Amino acid sequence: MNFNSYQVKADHRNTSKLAEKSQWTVTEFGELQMFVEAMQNQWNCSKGFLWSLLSEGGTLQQVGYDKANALYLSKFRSDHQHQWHGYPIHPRHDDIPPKTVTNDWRNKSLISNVTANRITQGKL
Amino acid sequence: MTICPEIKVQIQGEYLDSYVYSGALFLMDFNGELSSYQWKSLVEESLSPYTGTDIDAKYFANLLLDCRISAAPGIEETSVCRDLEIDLNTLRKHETARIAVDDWPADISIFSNRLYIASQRGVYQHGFVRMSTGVVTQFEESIQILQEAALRTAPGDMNRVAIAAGRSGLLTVSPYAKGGPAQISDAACSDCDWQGLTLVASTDAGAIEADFAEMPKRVVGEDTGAYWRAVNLIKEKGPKSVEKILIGDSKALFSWIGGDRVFAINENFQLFAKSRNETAHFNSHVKFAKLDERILLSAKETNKHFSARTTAFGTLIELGDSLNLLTERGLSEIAANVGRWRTFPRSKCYANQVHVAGEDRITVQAFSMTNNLKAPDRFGFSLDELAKTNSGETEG
Repeated sequence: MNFNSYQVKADHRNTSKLAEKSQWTVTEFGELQMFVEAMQNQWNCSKGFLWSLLSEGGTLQQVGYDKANALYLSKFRSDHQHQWHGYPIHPRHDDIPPKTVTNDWRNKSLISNVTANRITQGKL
Repeated sequence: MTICPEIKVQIQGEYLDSYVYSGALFLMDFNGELSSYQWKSLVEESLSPYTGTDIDAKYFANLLLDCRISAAPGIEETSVCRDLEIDLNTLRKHETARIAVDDWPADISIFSNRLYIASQRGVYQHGFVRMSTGVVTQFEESIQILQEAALRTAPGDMNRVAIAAGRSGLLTVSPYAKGGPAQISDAACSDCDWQGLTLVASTDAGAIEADFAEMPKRVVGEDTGAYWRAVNLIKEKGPKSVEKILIGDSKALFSWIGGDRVFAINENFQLFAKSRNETAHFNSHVKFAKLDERILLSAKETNKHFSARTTAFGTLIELGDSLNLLTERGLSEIAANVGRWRTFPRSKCYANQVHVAGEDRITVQAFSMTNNLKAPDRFGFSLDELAKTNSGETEG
């Protein structure tokens, strides 16, 4: 994974409940920590995205929200200059982490079997 | 009133999914391996220690092997739920086939001796070799029938498959037929259910219903070529109609099929039902039933994941990671911390079962069919209805 810089995007931190884009509830430092952890653990997919989470004692912690859901996972992408940014996601449609990533979270006891199973089906 | 199954079979191990089909149990584990077991011998061995005790081993075997026998007149429902444990050693003794799928399916389904696996890699179809007893002796190599990520499959007749393909919408695929997947709806689709001529799906734009033409009946002595041309023509044409399911003037959020009825939930999480033969418009004056207030408030306010299926013993409602059973006797949580659950509404033998994947086990819950025979619960369907409405397409 090529890395040049990381940018905290304002449109994922405008705190509006009605915002079109998902919103972080973790601090900027927490956002960066999740990104670094994803990078170090190679929690990536074939499309070049990185996936991350915040877990305490094997239980997922909320990292953000959107109009419909409390969000527990995060996704990071880079532009052609390798500047990365990320946002919280709900695991559905294009935002379901790959099996390799979910299995690594499970093997590291960051998530339970039940949570891994639910993420695989696009529901949390 | 708490409603509980008559027997719970706890299969120890870490599994993603479980499926029972025509005498075979299929388990999908976290190593990406799909295995098959002889269900009858596994149940009989597990019940054998209870022979001669107060537990009627034969009755419980029938509950797990063929619910029609357990529902025979004269058999009385018990009031206690029995637990049965199957450990890994016992399970292994009854294993008959295994294949490395190297994937974590979002869904598996089996129909007409074909097994479909939906995952982020696409949809794969596996054949398998079965003995007359139902024992699966071998899985065949898979063929890929869709190269897009899929969340759910719903096999129809004549090897047609509906696929909830996320952002690619609702698709149908006819493996081996000319042409690629047909798009029924371009709205992002997360669930689908196909029985007989009716296909329903839940999309981001609301629930939809597609109605298909009846396949030609094969007549003895008829030209085989003409018959298959007629079949292929219907396959190529796709559905006769595709409509949004409306309840009054409002869209339905989620829809599924149970027996000869289509069920739907509106935006207020009220439950409606109509005959499969009626149009996709639910008349709000024939509102079937309103869900328990607890579910309604919780579902609306917390935005928890919602899905539902109707079985011979009632309607199962998933809300978050909790699985609830709705019958005329009330609403009961039957499982918590649920990874995945599965019912068998097309099966003559297993229509009384729900399989639940938990943290370290699969739990098979089997419900009494005694009341179903006397008067089917209005939140479920009767075994007779299953035999009539699914003529020619039921599973064993």
